[in-house]
Amino acid sequence: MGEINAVKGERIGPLTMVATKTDLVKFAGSSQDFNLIHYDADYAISRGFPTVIVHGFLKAGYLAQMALEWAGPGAWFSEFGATYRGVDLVGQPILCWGVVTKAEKDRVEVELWTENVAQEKTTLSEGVIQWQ
Amino acid sequence: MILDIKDKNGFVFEEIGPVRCSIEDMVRWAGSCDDFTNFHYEASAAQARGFRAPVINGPWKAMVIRNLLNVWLGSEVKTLKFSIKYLDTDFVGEEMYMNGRVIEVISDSDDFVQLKCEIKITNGEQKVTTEAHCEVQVQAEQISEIPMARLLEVLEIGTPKGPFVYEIAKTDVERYSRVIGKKNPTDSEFVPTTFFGALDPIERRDLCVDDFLLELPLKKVGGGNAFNKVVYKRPLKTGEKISVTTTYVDAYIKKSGNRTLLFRVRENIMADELGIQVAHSRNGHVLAFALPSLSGSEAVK
Amino acid sequence: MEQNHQAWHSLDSAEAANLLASVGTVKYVSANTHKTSLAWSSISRPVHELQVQPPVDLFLICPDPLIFALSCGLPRSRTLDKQIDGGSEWEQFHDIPSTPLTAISRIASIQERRTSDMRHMIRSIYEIEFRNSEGKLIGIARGTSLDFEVATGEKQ
Repeated sequence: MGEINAVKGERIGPLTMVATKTDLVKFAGSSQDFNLIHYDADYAISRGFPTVIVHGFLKAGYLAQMALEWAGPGAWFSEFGATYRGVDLVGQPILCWGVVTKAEKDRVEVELWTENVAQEKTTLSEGVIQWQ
Repeated sequence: MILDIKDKNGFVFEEIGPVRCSIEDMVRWAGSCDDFTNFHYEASAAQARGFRAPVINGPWKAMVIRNLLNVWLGSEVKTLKFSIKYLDTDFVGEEMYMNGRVIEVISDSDDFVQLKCEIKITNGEQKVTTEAHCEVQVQAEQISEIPMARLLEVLEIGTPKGPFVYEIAKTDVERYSRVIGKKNPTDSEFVPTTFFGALDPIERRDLCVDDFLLELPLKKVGGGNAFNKVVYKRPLKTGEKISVTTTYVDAYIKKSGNRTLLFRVRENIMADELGIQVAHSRNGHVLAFALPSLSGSEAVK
Repeated sequence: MEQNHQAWHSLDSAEAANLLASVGTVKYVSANTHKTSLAWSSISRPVHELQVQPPVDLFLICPDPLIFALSCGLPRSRTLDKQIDGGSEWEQFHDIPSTPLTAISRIASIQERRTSDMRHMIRSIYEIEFRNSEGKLIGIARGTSLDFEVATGEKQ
């Protein structure tokens, strides 16, 4: 079993991601989420958005993956959750951040979040990382 | 307010006012349409031209009136034709009153009613400063509430649906990993943390129970996943076949500002080929509506 | 309302007949999220009944047809003493697509008129056609400029 010398308060990230329309289509294809709001601008507008929006799961995916890259080989989330507070639009930078909230020898709890260019938190996430 | 179709001919809309436009509103307007003519927001420039105060931009009044049609006739009203004449000056900081009425029913079908309306702006001295005419199309039947009884019927709260069996395909996992920024997408047999979303029959549209919500004649102002939470017993691996059972556990409405948020919450139990539970997720989806006349908040369970 | 933009062209009466049907610079336009938010905030702050921002329509694409036409390089009559915005008109035939619209502005009419108190006035109507990428007419916006004599006592 792996482990990490993390300490409470340790920062994870930042990581800046920009979801292009191609990314959204690839994500739709690989996750089988073909909701039109993620790639059809006219439909997204009819649903009240300014243009196509980034999948919530993709933003959560950015956060989880950023934390796992930080945690190193063998790391996996035994628990993970995300709450979506605001939409992010295609082509706009998404800043991913994290912080360690509890550190034990083989288990780390983290809080993660995304921010848009206006520094508003659009995704709040938390999880438990363990090692195999 | 929604126009009662029976009473449409000669219908008089509720007066809006007094409305007072500020310098800041004029500056915002200037920025929006690149008209930086200074007597709309600078008192000294207005006075130099003989006006007692900054002059309200005419198209600003047009936009107010055009949007009041949504207040008077409901959010789904379509403006087909709109003309406006500026008869006199309105000034920043001074009172304006907006009045409107239906002056003609152009056509009336099962689906739509086409109306001609007249709207006037009067100042504090009851002088008409602006006159507009418009042709609008209104849906013949409008609803003002989310039909919760119908929704609860189709969701069957507490009744499991499935199982739906999904094989975790290597190509999907690799593509998914690349998009979320995994540096070496093929270096691990573990699937990405959030891949449980790709094993959700609702996200995959293998289970479509509440599609009618999107067809409701209500203005939609956003929505999507509200939250997703997962607890894994172990990491999922590429190539596994996972059985998923979905159960709706909750549906409720919340008010947020002027939006009405409809939440549907479901739980997924994921099991491997041996029938052993490997993960459990709880997922909330939200649809946001701008309801024309919903008063207060209500929670329905 | 009066307009006074230094960059706009002036027009004298001798030119007027020649300029009828003049076409301005072609523009490609779509709703600008920042600008539509600004416009919306400018009206929803003072008018509390306005609570829900509407979907994009021709109003948001072209909130001020006169300003729009002048920004396309079309001249404005400044032969007489005072120029004001005489009014606007919008006609929308189809929903606004997400792709940019082609906007072609022209001077549709220039007429000499008299005000109710017999002062000279030149009324110019500017017309802007908005077409989608397939050339389909999505809507038309019209702006009116009035150029008129002020009463003798008002002249400065």
